[in-house]
Amino acid sequence: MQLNDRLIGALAVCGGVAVIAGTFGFRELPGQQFGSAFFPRIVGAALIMTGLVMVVIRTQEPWIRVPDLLRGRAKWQVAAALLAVVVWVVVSPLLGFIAATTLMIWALILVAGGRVIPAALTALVMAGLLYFVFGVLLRVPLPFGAIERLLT
Amino acid sequence: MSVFWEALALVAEPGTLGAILVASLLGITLGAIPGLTAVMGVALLIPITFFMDPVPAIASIASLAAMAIFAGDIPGTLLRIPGTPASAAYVEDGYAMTRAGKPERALGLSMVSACVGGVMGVIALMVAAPVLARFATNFSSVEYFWLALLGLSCAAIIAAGSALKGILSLLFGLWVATIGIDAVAGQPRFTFGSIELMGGVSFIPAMIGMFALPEVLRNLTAQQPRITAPTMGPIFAGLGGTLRRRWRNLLRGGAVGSVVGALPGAGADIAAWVAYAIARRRSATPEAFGKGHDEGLIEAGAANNASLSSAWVPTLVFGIPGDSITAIVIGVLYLKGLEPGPIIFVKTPELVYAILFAFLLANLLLIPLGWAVIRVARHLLRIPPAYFAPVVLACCIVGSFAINNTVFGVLTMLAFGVVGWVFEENRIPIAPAILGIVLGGMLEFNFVTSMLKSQGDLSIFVSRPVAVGLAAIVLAIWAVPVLRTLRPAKEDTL
Repeated sequence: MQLNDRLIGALAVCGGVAVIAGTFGFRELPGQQFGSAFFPRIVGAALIMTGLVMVVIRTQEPWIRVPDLLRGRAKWQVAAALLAVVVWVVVSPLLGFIAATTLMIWALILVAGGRVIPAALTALVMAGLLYFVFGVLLRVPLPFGAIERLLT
Repeated sequence: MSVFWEALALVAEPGTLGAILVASLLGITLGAIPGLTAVMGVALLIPITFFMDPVPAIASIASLAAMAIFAGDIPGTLLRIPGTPASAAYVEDGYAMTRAGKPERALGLSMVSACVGGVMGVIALMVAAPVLARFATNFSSVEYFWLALLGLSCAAIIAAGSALKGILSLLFGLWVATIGIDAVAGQPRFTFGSIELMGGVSFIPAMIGMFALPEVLRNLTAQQPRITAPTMGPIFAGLGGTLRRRWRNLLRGGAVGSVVGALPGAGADIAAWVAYAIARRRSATPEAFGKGHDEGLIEAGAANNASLSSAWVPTLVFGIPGDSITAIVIGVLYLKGLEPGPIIFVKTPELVYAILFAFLLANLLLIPLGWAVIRVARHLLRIPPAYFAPVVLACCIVGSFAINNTVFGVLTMLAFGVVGWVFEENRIPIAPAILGIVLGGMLEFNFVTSMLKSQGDLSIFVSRPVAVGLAAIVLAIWAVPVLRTLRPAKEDTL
């Protein structure tokens, strides 16, 4: 989403207010002049000031413009990529790393316009390679599933 | 002298040499694929370096970056698509040579210029860093506060296109750096009740998300036409004669890159543009620039690799990143228990010199590996984004997971990736936010410590001569956007 500078400035002002408001619940150490809230409040105040400068500067741009990335087929490709990460988080503990990653890469290549067989081969090889580098060489405890059980 | 031998021994270990070779191959491949940048490559390498010793870890980052910056010239020269932003300055000249049927000449010149520039940058780093480190050992929290502010200001104001957006990005990063338990008071800040956020936002997943996810999304939706890269003749033919004729450009490019790179916040792309502009101004045939002329290509090609090395001067000496890559490096050094700053030169000098030797080796490897990648470039350029973008996304996921072995890292990567994408869509630079995340803790610590020492008296920040000098430089940098804003108003009144 492309916003014009005035809108970005307004959002920055809101962000700055939220940061300062968030510091009011911080406990302060007795006798300490500059506590936990001191620095975040400076950041919040700076956000408000920068945002205000952006709000007052004139601009000819429209308030909101939908970028090319969110038009036509591209918007579904973007949504698929973001959703794929969430699905991987949910599914990988059940299927294991290799199966979940292979399915994710394969599906995304197809969504991006790749062909079925080369996509499947790419997905399988790359998921296996990543498992070998991280799971075997670096000993990262990647999500464990049926394929990993067969390999160990 | 024994420090040098110790350092050489560290670099000569098979593990280090292997890491340099693998990272170089990875860097040269990533850089040659249009759409994949050196910064993204480094971001994806970090989870692997997490498991390495400090020297191979840092050496592999240096090697990958040096190779990727050079390899970015390949798609630029053959297809007029700069592989990395640092290649954009001279892409027209390289492409014009390709259209004239001499792609091997353009790429050969780029390769040798990158090697010579890189070596000059390493020499600058070897000479300047220890001298500055000796000077910096007397710095107190006040000077460190100004140095941190100087680095952040350079990145936000000078390096960014729009100063205001650069400042916004920086402030976002500084706010992110405050998330987690405050070290002084033990107070959880902005954790929203999440136990995972108590330790702060994990730097690596955040960085992978902000740098890599926007590139994945862009490549996934890219409609790339069918690519037919030209065939190439012998790469080294006639190269010696041209370089002998253009030795001034080569050396000046290396020198300019070394100086620009050492400035906090100025990266390889800025060094390349500055060197290209200087080459044009000093040339006897400025009208030939952009039409397949070799002067700008040689000078800017040497400058971008030189800047890559010298960007490590402020990084190692002061802990202030010279560019986006060294911002990532600072995070890695902290993860390895090495605090960048002058003390690192006193405590572990062999480590510093080992890093410098690794840099030198990586730049010398540019010639054989560069030659090899130019030969196979035609095949690399044919890989459609539809195939590599999902693979890069899988690398982002596994890299973010590997840091803490939890899916929280993956979700952090996703959240920061979306933020990075929104930033890019709105032309808000990402590097200041990353610098803010990395340096925020140091800035806050030195600021609050100084304020506590002086009991709230702000004059402590100008109580020492060096602090006054640094303060003056920071104020001058902050005056830049004000002057930029006033200039059109002045023109309106005329």
